[in-house]
Amino acid sequence: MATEVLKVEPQDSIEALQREAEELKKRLEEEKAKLKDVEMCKAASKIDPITNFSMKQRRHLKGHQGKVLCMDWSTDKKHIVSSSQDGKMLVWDAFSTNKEHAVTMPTTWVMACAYGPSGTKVACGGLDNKCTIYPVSLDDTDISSRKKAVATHTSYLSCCTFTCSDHQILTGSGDSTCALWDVESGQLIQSFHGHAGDVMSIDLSPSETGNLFVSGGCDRTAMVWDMRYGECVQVFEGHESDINNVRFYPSGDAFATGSDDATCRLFDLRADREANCYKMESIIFGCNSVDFSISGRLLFGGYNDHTVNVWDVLKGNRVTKLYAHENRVSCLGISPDGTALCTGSWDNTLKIWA
Amino acid sequence: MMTLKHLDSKPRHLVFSKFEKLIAFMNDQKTGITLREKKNFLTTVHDSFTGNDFINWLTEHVCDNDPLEAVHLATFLVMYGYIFPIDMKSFVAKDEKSTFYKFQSPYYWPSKNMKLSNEKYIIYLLKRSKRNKQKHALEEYEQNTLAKLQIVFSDKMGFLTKQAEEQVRQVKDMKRADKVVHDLQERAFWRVYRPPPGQVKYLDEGPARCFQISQMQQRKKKNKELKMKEVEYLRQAISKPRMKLSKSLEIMFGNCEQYMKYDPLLNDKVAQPSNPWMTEDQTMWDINCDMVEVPTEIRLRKWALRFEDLLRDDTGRNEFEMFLKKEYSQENIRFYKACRQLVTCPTSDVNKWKTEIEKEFLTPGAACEVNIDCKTLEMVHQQLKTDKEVSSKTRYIFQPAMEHVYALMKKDSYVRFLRSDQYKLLIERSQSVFTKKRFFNFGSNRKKAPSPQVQRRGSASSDGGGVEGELVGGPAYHSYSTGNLKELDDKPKTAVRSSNSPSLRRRTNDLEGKVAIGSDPRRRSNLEVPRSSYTSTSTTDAARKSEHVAQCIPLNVPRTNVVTPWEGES
Repeated sequence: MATEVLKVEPQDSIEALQREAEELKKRLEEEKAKLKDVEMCKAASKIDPITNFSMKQRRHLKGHQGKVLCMDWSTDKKHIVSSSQDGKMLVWDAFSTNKEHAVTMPTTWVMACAYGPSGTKVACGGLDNKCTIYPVSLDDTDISSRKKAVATHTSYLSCCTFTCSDHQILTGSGDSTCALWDVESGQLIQSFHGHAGDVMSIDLSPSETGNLFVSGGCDRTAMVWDMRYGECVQVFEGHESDINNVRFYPSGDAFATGSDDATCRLFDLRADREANCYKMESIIFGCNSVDFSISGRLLFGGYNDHTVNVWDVLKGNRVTKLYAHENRVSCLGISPDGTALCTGSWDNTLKIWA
Repeated sequence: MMTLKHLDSKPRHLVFSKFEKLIAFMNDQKTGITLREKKNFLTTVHDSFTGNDFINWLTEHVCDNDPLEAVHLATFLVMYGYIFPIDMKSFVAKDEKSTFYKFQSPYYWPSKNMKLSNEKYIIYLLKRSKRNKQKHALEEYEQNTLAKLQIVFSDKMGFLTKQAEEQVRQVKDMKRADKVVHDLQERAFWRVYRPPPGQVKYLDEGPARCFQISQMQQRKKKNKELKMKEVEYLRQAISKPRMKLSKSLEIMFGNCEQYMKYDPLLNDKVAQPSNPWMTEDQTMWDINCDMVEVPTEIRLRKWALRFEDLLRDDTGRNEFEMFLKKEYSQENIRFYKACRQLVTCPTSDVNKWKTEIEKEFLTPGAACEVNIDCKTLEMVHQQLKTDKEVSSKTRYIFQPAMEHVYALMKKDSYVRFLRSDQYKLLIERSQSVFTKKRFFNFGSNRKKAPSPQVQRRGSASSDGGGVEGELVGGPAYHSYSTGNLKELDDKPKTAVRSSNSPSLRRRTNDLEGKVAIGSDPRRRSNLEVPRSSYTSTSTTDAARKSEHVAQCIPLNVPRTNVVTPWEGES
């Protein structure tokens, strides 16, 4: 390493870049530190605490033969798509608990699935490195015959989500990239490079004119991207282990992360920094999935210790703990109208809570 | 690079190191758990502890006096093989005085045994089968596994049997007490790694990650492409404007407070008539389709929170478009929708949409020409000229113009829409439809259970540009119910069930004209148009009182009137 200093380096050598990056980082940290003028928990101390919040199990969806890995709500507030480790993707009428479609994928570990905004398409993928789109309609019993492979990555597909239309899908992969694809042609519209490790989760900004999405990965970094230019516009660090899940705050001005370091965190986009960290001494296991209630006051986290912890986003304390499943809680999501929470678990089942 | 590679061999999950810290804490001389002796028929197991002590210790030291959580955590300590029950049966943590537990030897900790071969397992099983039948007999599932493994390893059996015999001899040389402990530890270990069928495998892992920790660190350091991107980002980030955290949080808190009243998980009165998941009654979803003739009052009031909330709602966007039509500025919303369409349409349609938008909205003299300042227009035209081939940028070619139009609608048309007769009529209509019929049981005891709207107050929206504040009506307006099912039954049929996808052509104004039908004029007195800014200092009090005051609290439009909860009293 000592020889490095002696060498005459060109301007753009990796060492020169490294030094510049470190310098800039230091300055940036100083800049950001100036703006941290308050602790979130203190700022929220005068807000009324959440009292008498309770949630009960309302549905138990049984049908998967393997670990449930991912779920997504349909915009109709009743249907759910879920995927599992044994290669199955199921479309449920969660209200009646009927399974409406079942697709067997030519792979195990289907780690990603998503409902299209129109409710007529579902996408999924996993260790096959692909994102496959299926049409869903009740008159069509064999939807797998009309499947369409859209995206291909060089490693497993960890997450996918439709943009505001059925025509585009955004994917994240173990190959450390995210990509936006044209559903019709299967062409890549834009790719997003910047993560140093596996991308585990993505979420689109709910803001109308945003064109932003956030991604989180095993490099312990969350990045906010501008979809227009494929550029990373904000980087957030702080977690001590893999980030498993990211989710935008309903207003789009912040996002939450769930990590293997057993914490959930809230990152503020406007202040460009971590705003809060949700943790307790008794919580030892990693968090796999997070979502906000529609007001953004509650944050639900699905953990490896089979439970769901419900946090008060503003005050930072835990509101309650649900002993939700008999194995890891791998995924969860609030229904589009905020009336229910769905959790999926490695115990092969999904549950609806309200 | 040896050190980096070393990282990869360590368990990925922090949970192991955390458990090990906890175990050290439990072993602490002073604050640790009380160790006892467990006397068996002929032997004594030293340094064990009762389930009762176990749970109590965790409750007191880790779990914040929550015994339920302590039992849960204790079970994980057992299932992860850090602590084992001496009776080899209670593989859940039991809060009992009669059940004894013991710390597992660090040699057997899961962090040190990430990968276990079946060879090791078969040697262990063979060893046990060669020992005293009464004490060491294999359980049924173990016998089955042994039989299976013997077939798998048939060519190696001679070697494996010898190993097992060797180990049996070693055990025989041990002292009696040591032997008992050793047997327990080993058995507990395999109980964790090869659990009986049907038991949850706590130590199961997901598929391996693509990048090893060493690879990630290498890439962070040595990958030139990533480094250049990082530097580029950092250069820009330095000069980027940022908000003070306190300011940002203030906006967030205000925003949250407002929306909490519309959160069914925090305010069960929002789910009108009831949360379908709780009551099995799907009426709430029926009356809240994407496209409805009469939106519920809750929904209408939500439109006033932020412009986004109006636009995101299909019915809301439709109403807004009709309002703009009356104001002769319909082209704005149509242009906005077309631009959104361009962003999300199939690639094959990009060119079509591009030319259509240009022709319809941006050509001088076009029927629907949007009114944009010449600087922005110039910029867009410039971009149109250079944009020959369809690229990802083509989709955003009208972005500056779109943002301009959006801001215009938000600052001007939106505010006027909320003050318009059309919006007022919608609310009145909603009140008359849902209140008169007493459809929801809510109506009967409305004094005891004020609606969420009544307590609302002005607060900042996230972007500060929306109309901050609310309309507060009289005491009786907030009943959403109707007793007559008949009229409601028709609604789901007439309502167009559509999605959130911005497909324009489907959203025709099929509801146009129906809305303008006047409703009961008697109810109008309760509703006022918000005009002046909000001056009350103690908002919460004022809001509470307003429940009984039949006058309106005016709407605050300027963003300077943010009253944060902690400022309320001062």
